[in-house]
Amino acid sequence: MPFSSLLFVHLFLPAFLAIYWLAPRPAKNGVAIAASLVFYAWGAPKFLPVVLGLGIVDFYLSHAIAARRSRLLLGIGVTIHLSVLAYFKYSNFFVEQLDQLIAVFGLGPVSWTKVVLPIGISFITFEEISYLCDVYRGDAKPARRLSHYVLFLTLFPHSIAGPIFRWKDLEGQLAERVHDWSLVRSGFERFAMGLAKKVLVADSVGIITDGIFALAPAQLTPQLAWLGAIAYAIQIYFDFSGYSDMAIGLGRMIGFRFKENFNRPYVSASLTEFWTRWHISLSSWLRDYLYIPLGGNRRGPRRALVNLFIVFLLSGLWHGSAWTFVLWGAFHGAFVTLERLLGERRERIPRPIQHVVTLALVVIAWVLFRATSAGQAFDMIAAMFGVTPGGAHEALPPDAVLFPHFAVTALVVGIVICLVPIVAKYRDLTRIRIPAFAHAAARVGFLLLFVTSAMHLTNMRITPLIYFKF
Amino acid sequence: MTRLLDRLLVAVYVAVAALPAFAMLADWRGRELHGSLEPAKLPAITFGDVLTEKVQHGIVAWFEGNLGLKGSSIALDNAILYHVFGETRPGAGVRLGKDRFLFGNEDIDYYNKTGRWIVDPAYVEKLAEQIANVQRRLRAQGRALVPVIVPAKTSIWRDKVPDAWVMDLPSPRPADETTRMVKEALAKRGVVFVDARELFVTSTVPRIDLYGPDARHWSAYGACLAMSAIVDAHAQLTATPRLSHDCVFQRQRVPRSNDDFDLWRLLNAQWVYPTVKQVPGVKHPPPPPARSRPRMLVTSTSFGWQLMRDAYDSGVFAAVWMNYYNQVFVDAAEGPNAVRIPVEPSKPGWRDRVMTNDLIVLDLFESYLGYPEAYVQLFLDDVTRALDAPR
Repeated sequence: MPFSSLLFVHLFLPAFLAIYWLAPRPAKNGVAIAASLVFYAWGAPKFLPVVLGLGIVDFYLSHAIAARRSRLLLGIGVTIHLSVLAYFKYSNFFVEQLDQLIAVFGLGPVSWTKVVLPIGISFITFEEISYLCDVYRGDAKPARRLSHYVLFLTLFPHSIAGPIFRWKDLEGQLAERVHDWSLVRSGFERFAMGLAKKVLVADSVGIITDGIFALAPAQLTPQLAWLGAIAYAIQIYFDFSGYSDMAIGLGRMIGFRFKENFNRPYVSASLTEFWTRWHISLSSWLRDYLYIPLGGNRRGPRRALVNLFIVFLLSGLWHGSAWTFVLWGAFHGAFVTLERLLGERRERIPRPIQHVVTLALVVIAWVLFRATSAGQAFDMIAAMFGVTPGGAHEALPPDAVLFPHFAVTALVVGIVICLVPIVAKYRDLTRIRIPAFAHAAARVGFLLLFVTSAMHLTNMRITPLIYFKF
Repeated sequence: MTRLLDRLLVAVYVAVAALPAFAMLADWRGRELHGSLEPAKLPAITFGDVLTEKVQHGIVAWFEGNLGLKGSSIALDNAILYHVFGETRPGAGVRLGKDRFLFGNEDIDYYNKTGRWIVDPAYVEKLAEQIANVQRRLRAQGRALVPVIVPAKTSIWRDKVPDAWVMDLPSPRPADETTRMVKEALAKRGVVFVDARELFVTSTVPRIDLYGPDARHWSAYGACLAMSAIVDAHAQLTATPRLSHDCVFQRQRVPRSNDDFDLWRLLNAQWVYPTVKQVPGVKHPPPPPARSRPRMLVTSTSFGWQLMRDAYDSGVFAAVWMNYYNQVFVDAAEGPNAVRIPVEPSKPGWRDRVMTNDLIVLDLFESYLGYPEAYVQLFLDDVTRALDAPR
């Protein structure tokens, strides 16, 4: 049940909020757990017992880890979670690769029933691992109540597409949180903004992206290829950050204050900076639970570069079990490593050029992320640089199919929203006085966004959120 | 004050979110939606179906299909798309052309037919041969098979198709080439047929009276002119005097449920009105007395409805039936709520409904021309088998 679905917006959300707000304070967590279990079971009923079972294992394991400071128990816990992730997310991919390999020797495919990927498994696994690690390191105390830990894992605003929570950030709020109307109102406004980002911008721009990525390689011109890639960069940002906005907003409606997951990533002047602004909960997780344990910067500059590259490679694989995601991770890893190698010499490059180069690299990398195969990605990237693969020329679909006016408008609006904040990096805009009426206008604006998004949602075919795949 | 305002705003947000569900309970449908599917029913809930997510999908379909005020919500969103962006929703069955002319998706697709979809010339020859054969054999029995090239809207109102909808294709466009091939193959075999496209293009009657801006199909007057040409062809094929069929033009005010507004209705948009207020209609002079009147069958797409009504209203036929896509028979005498009888060539009733007609009209609608699996081929095969069968 995506947040941007009619069932969620018009039934689940108001019904849940009514029950939650009417419930006495001690019962609020119980209501939130029940709603979260219904929400999760709606999309992955068969996987719910696995999530709950792993939650119970974690709960008792974390207490044992805290009591004994046992590295072995931590290892067992992490191995269990990685095994579950590997089975559900990567076994199909592994079998496919094996089939291709043994086909070389003339052998038939392995008998295998495809495993269905449960929604949100990648996010939940990372949260469970970070919990056990934090308890082991002494950075967090083990959950005092099983119900708190179950709520932490399944809390519906984040359970299927993040942000990736840390137990230590949420522990206090699970036990005690303030419910005030100002927070609830801001939650609705944040939700409205996220819904609008998803429904009005991301889904509209997605029409352009889908149209261009569906073209045959021989139909691609450099302009079309760049446009398709830029459109996807806008689509994925508005889709995913919109989802995070909705999650943060939903959290506020029930008294939670979640950390931000995006911070205007396209204003970055380097890929290193980009990764401090994009999917912050993932990049910080990878830093704390992968990069640092691998040795981080502590084992010399060369090893640090290798560690960095490994982190990005695995980050790619985390996003999806396909070679395109591995290539995407490797691409980012290679350039982030290169930036570190260049060090301060990079600062001699004029800032505007740094921005343009960074954006170009991010956009090219998104082609790897969006393409259905490595072959399609290479064709697209080749077309971006004027190399059009041969083949029979076929007429392009009508402009109105590739570029509906409202989709083009959404793309332009998306580009402006993404790039205008670059100004704020170099000019102090905090001294600009915002007139009082602007705040009132903003209140009305958010409400209008909510109504317009709901209407548009009703009219349009509902597209699943891109990040549901992960 | 701020606290009160916060509470008020929260209440408004919750009300907006919950309104469609409340409206659903209260059965407030909102504006009527045209061209939409019947809303799904609530599925039976079983544990097994929950595990396979069948129940979840069923509930989503039921909820979305029955959502309160859905029609109004869609109409408002479509109004924004129409008035602000000058277009219709992607996936809608209707497209907005120049000067507010509306086109059906299929007509635009047909106009943009590319090399990949071009009809096989060998098949066109085979089809023409079969039509010629059936026409010759029926003629020998004193009956007439009259094929009619029915024009797509994009053939008549080409200048109203927005540039953004026109694919860059070689001239002549493959779609035109298909029609040309069919006409040439029929003419080569001496088939008597009606080319309604040519009739409309060369007519001195204003195009808007033949094919309305808000309509998917030809107007009643356009259909009448085509019917007149069919009557000419009938006289030629049966060597009998021409039936008394004339079209007296009259402009008339009709309700918006009229066929001339079918594309407009599909817009489902608020504050969008039909381009024309009055539509072209037809008045038939009373037919002269006759000792016997012919029976007629139209095998057709939805263009046949106007033909059928026109033939019936003219009063020159003893019976007028329609064979809709070779799937159902409809008796014109029964009016709009006529019983639909399935087309079953293996049953005895089929021969009575088809092979006893004096005039069989075969609609060769341009957009569907030349596909072996289409109704035209199926009907010709059925008739050929009936002609071959011993009496």
